Amino acid sequence: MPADPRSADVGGRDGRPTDPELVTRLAQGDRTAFGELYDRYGRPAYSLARRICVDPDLAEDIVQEAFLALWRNPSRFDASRGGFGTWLMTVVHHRAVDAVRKENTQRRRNVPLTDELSERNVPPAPGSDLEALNSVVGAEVREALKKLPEDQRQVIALAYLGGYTQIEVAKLTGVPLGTVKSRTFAAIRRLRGTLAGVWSAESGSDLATPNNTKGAHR
Amino acid sequence: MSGDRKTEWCDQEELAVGWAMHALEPDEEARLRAHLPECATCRRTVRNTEAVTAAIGQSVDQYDPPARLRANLMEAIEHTPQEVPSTVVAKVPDRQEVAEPISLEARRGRKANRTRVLFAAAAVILVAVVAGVVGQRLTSLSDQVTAQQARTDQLEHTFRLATDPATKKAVLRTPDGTAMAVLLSGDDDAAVVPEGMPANDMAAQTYVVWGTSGPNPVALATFDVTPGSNDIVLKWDRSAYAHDGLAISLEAGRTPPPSPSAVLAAGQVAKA
Repeated sequence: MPADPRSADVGGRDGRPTDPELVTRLAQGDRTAFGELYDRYGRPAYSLARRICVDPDLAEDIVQEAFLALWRNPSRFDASRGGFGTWLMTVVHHRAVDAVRKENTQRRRNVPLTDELSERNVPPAPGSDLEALNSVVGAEVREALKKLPEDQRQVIALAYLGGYTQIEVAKLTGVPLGTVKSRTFAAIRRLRGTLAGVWSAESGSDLATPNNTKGAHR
Repeated sequence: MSGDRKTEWCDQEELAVGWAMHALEPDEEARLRAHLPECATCRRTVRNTEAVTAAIGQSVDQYDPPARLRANLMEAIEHTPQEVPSTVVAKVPDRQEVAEPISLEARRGRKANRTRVLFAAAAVILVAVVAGVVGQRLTSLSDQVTAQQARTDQLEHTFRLATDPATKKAVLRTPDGTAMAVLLSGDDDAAVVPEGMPANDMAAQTYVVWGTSGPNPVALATFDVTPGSNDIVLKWDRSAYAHDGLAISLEAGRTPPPSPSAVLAAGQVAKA
């Protein structure tokens, strides 16, 4: 079983509260714990939302709603299913993609997808996405992505950062849907293998996600 | 994990990866949603994929959010009540969180009113669904969690449908005026939210949705109601979406007859 970065959370080893501890306090109405979680994850959450939506105002709305939803019902985060950072980023991604799709509903259904590609600022070449990656914090991820075959990077970029469904990715890239699915699956499996090794080597038995640690030091 | 497969691989794993990336079409989402509760392999694949995509997500160019965002949040929580967790709600996984109404349109006046109505509709569904879920008596925690997973995913689908500005909504009523179901009709998917509809015998009966806008009723979709059903995803398309008159019948057999034997409930769509 490879290392599982989802099991890790910020804090704990340096005497600061872990993410799940903060969520527990938040559930009891602790405003300071809420602020601390925002300080750990607000920046990466906002950056992801902005990357997907492009519109900074929309990104701000998404992050605000994601954190307010956490405040309203903190039990939606289930520590047994993974780390808080992974959970929050998944929520923000999901909301951002929904927002982009909603904003583009009419155009998406009325204009060729190839036109939309440029409208939504999704780079036609996967290399552009690599340039967008943070050069310090995301070094491991960038390296892992670099090791992917270009066609695999492309499907990951279009689906995850572009917010396109796999069928849309197939239309955009001109390859069969089944190929898009198998490329995506292969890319994720490969990334996981690479990143699990990196995370495991860096954190020893604790399996910390380096990016989570970054969030803690803001 | 009672009922889980013990295999190390599953032929649905590609779908599970797409699901975790939120990149599937509604029909595929429905397929995986039905599959996940019985497949530990795919649930693990979803979690593993989320770990990878979250790492990618945290590695894009970093921007400092506006300072007002933190200030707004700290201010907002002062007058935002916290929900009291129950034993069931406490185990709700990610997707229900995503399904919660998003007030993104608040600053977009052109859509605000329409969206507000849709959010209200979705909130009603949310309440109904949570009430239904709480009412279930599941035999084990793992069953509870997996059932919640499937349930909340379905809720998410319904919510997305309910908040799509193009979605049409019809309250289907019995001849005496009692609401039997709400039908959300999108241009490529749809959902029925039953209100007290009896479960059908899935071996020998099916519910049928009829489009009644033409000279003769046209069968648009079939569905089953099971005890505790909350909302049911329908196989739908643009020609079904075109119908503004809708009706439901319960038919013998598993395929629709040429015409409904007896319409149980009917209604007209109101563009939400």
